[in-house]
Amino acid sequence: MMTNTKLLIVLLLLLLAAFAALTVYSIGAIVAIFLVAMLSSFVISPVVDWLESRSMPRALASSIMLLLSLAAFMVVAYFLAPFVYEQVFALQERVSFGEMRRSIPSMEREIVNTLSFLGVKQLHFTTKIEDFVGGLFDNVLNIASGVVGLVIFVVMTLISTFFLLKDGRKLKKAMIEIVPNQFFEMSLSILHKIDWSLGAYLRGILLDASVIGVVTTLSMWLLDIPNFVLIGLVAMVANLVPYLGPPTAALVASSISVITLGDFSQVPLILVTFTLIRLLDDSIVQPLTISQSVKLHPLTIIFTILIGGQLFGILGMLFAVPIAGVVKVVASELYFGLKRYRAMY
Amino acid sequence: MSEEFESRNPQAGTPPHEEATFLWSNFFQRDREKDILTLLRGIPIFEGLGRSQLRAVERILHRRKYHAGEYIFREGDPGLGMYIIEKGEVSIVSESRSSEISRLGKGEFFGEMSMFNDRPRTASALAYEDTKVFGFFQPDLLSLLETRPSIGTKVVMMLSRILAERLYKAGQENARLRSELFMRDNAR
Repeated sequence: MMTNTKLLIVLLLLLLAAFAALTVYSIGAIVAIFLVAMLSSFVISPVVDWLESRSMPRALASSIMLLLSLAAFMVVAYFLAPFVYEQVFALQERVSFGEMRRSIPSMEREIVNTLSFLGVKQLHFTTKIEDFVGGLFDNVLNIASGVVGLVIFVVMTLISTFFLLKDGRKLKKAMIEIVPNQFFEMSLSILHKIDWSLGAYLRGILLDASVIGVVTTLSMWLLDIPNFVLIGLVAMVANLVPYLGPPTAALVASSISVITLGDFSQVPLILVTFTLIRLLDDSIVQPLTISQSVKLHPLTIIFTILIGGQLFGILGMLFAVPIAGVVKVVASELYFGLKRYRAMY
Repeated sequence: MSEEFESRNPQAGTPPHEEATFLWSNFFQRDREKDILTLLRGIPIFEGLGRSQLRAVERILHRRKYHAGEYIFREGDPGLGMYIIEKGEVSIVSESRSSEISRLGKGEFFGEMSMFNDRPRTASALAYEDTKVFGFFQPDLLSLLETRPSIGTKVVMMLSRILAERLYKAGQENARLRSELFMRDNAR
């Protein structure tokens, strides 16, 4: 039976969690800058550590990495953004004026005839695809119009990343300094373990997503599927969402193929390729990049995605699972850390 | 309890009338740093490190203050690292046997076994009087080995040398006790 003190602690923790969630929700942009900076510093810090081990001052190593990151971002933006924009534009052209207009209605008729026993009469494929691709195009335009906001976001994130890289250890030391003596060693141990596991987890999911992005792009290019870069990018980002991500990427690739060719001839090949990529990810890439201890239960993943989508839309769905992974890492390190020290005092 | 200890104790807080003293003490930051470096230089683990290397070590150490009678760590706690006494005295006690094993003073260190394993502490460390210590912990040593391998390797070598010396002495003591036991059995 739960004692009153334990009940009070649980209630306080729930209140604290609710308060934290509310704060995150209300100052989303600032939290986003901090989160991206923290994520970037976790990813970059091994390189800064390596440069430091080669006798380079940490401030200089952090500056170099910051400039390199900025250069990488600009290179990606310069070469990839127009390319992606062009591919989305071409896709929209195909939908509006291309062969799809002629082929889709006949395909729709075939499907309606086949499924007539289910009472299916009209599917409105053309309108639905036009709406979807049009929305995609609008989103690209919205991003372009919000370029000033994006630049501010990037600059602020880079500055925050620089300071987290340079003074991260000082920050941790300052944090631990205010902990009472009684809990000092325990806090230090837990903080270190969280730091280590979180870094490994974030680097892992990013590396996994990048590998899948590159493999998908190459596979689509080899299969001669148009918009292969766009599909690769979708696969990379979608890979952040387990279970739902890979089928979504396969669906996007199949849709592009159908829109372009006007038939389903390449769809089976695309589906087989995506299944093979999935197998490659599950059997080789993920075991090498992501620790098994951070794996979440499928039910947790589904509810996390639903909550993320409900709170923050598409972006919420994308980042819900990585954030849940982070929460799991922090919670499990806290739990095991406290358990190890439970006999104390 | 000394006034200096009280004013710098994070748990005790800084009374307003002592803020001026605290600000003034910043002017003597260099002297304090020099004192710390002198203290560290005298510790066998940091033997052979240059001034800049000692400063790098000092940056990863955790400075803590303990009141008389306060535990620094307790027997059975998971070990995380070692402590170097900057000021005051520390009593190493065996709680299971209710006895004091030794009493250590300025410049001496304890808990170094935990730098290499995660076994529980074999004794408790208790501040005998108001004490200031530097904590040096396993994660920080690993980070030092990653970022400044030249310093980290020297520290690990010195720690290993100290532990090897202790192992050698323990072996000798073990041999002496065995031979004493053997002689006693034979005499019977």
